[in-house]
Amino acid sequence: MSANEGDWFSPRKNRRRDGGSWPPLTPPPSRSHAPRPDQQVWPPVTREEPGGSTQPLPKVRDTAPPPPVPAEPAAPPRPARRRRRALLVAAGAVVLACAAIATRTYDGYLFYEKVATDETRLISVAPGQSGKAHGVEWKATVAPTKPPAGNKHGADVAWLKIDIREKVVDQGSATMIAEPGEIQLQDRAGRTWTVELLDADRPTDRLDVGKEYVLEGVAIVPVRVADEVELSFRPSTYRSDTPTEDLFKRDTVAALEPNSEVLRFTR
Amino acid sequence: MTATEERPPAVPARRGRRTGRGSGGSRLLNGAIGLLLVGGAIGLQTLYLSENDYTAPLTYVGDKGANVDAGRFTVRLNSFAVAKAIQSSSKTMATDNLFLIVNASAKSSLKPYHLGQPVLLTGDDRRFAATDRVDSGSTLAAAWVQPDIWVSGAFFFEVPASVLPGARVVFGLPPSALVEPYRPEVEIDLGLDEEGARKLAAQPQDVYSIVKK
Repeated sequence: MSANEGDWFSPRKNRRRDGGSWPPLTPPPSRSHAPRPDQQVWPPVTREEPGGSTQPLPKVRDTAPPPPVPAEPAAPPRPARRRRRALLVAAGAVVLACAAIATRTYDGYLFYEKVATDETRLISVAPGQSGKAHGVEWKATVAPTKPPAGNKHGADVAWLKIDIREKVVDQGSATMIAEPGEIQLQDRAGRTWTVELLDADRPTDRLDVGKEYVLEGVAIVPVRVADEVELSFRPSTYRSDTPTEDLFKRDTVAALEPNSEVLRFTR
Repeated sequence: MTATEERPPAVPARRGRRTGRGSGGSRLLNGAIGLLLVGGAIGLQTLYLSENDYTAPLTYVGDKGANVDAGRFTVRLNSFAVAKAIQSSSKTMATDNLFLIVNASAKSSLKPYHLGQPVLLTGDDRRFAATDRVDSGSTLAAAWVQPDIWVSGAFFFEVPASVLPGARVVFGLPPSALVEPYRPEVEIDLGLDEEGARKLAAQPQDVYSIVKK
C-alpha cells in the first residue's frame, strides 16, 4: 500500500481528470455562423443599481400603468367576507336539510292521503230538502230521542235518532240496493261520531222506483254539540246485478261507478 | 422600478394566505375536523331507523287512575283484579294460572275508534296477549270510543302469577292493513311490586262474572 492511497480528496497528479481517453471538447462545427466572440455575462459589465432586476427583461415603459389598487382597504374586509361566505354555506346546508326533510314528509303525506282517504265530492243538502246522488233521492232528519233504559251513559250524552229516507228516481239505479257507508255525525269543529243503523227490511235484488225506503239509526253525541251535529254519508254504488264471480277482477272494479259523492244534511 | 414591483399587491397577499393555511398546525386541525365529520356521519348512520323501528308505535306512558292522552284517544286504567274463573252467560272458564281483569275507560279526540286488545308487558319485557277465551264482544274493544264520550269496560288476560310484579298494560288501536308509522299506544303501569303482586295473587276471586244484568 502506498502512502497516497488514504488521501482520497487531493487530485491525482499523475492522471487527467477526464480519464484521458476522451477527445478534447471542441464546439461542434458550424457551417452558417462563425463562432461568436466571447462576451462577458457574469458578473455584469455595468453594475445595476440596488433594487434592480438581474433578469435581462426589458422594462415596459410606454404602456399605461395598472390602476392603483386600494392596498389598505383590501386587507380588512377579507375576514368579513370569509365569515359571510361561511355563514352562506351554513345557511345553505340548513336550507337543503330542511328541504330534504320537507320533501320526504310531503311525499309520505301524499301517500297517506292516497291510501287512507277516499275521493270525495261533497253535496250539501238544505234542511227539509232531498239530495240526489246516482239517481237516488235521499232525505234525512236528526232528532233527539229518549235514552234507552239501562244504558251506561250519563246526562252528558245526548241520544239522537237518525231517519234516512231513500227513493229511487232513476230506473237505472234500481239495483243500487246497498246501504250507504260512512254514516256519521259531524260537529262544527270537525269531530265525528258514528251512527249505528238498525236492521231494516230491504229487498236484496231491486228497489222499487218511486217507493220510499226507511233506514233508521241511533247515535250518541255529547250534549253540547247535540244541536249542531250534521249527518253525512256516502251512498254506495254497488249494484245487486254485479256478477259475484267477477267481483274480484280488476276490470270489474275499474268499471264500477266511483262512489265519491258524499251527502251532507245541514241543520 | 421594475416589472415585478408593479404587480397588484393582491396576488402576494393571497399567496401569503395560502401558505398560512397550509402550515402544519392547521393541516392537522383540518384532518381532525375531517375525521370528526366522518365519525359523526357514521355515528348518525347507526341511528337510522329500521323498518321495525319505523313502524313501531309511539308509546305514551302513565299511571293507574290517570288519564293518559295518546293524541287520538285517551285511556284511563281504573282498576284491576285477579280471578280463578270467569263466568260468561254461557259457561264458566277456569284456569290453572290467573285471570287478570283490567278495568279501563277511554274516549277519543276527533273520530270514532275501536280499541284493540291490549298487551301485558311483564317486568322483563315479555309480552302476553289478551286471552281469547273471553269473547271480545264482552271487552272494551267492542265499544265505540268517541270524542268526549267516556266508555268503560274490561279486558282479560290469562297469565301466571309470577309475571305480575312490574307488569304494564299497553292499549292501542286494532291492527290495520295500512302500515302506519308511529301509531299511538298507551302504556300504564299496574304499580305492582313483588310484595303487592304476591298479596294480589294470594287472594284471587273465585269467579268473576261478565254476565250483563
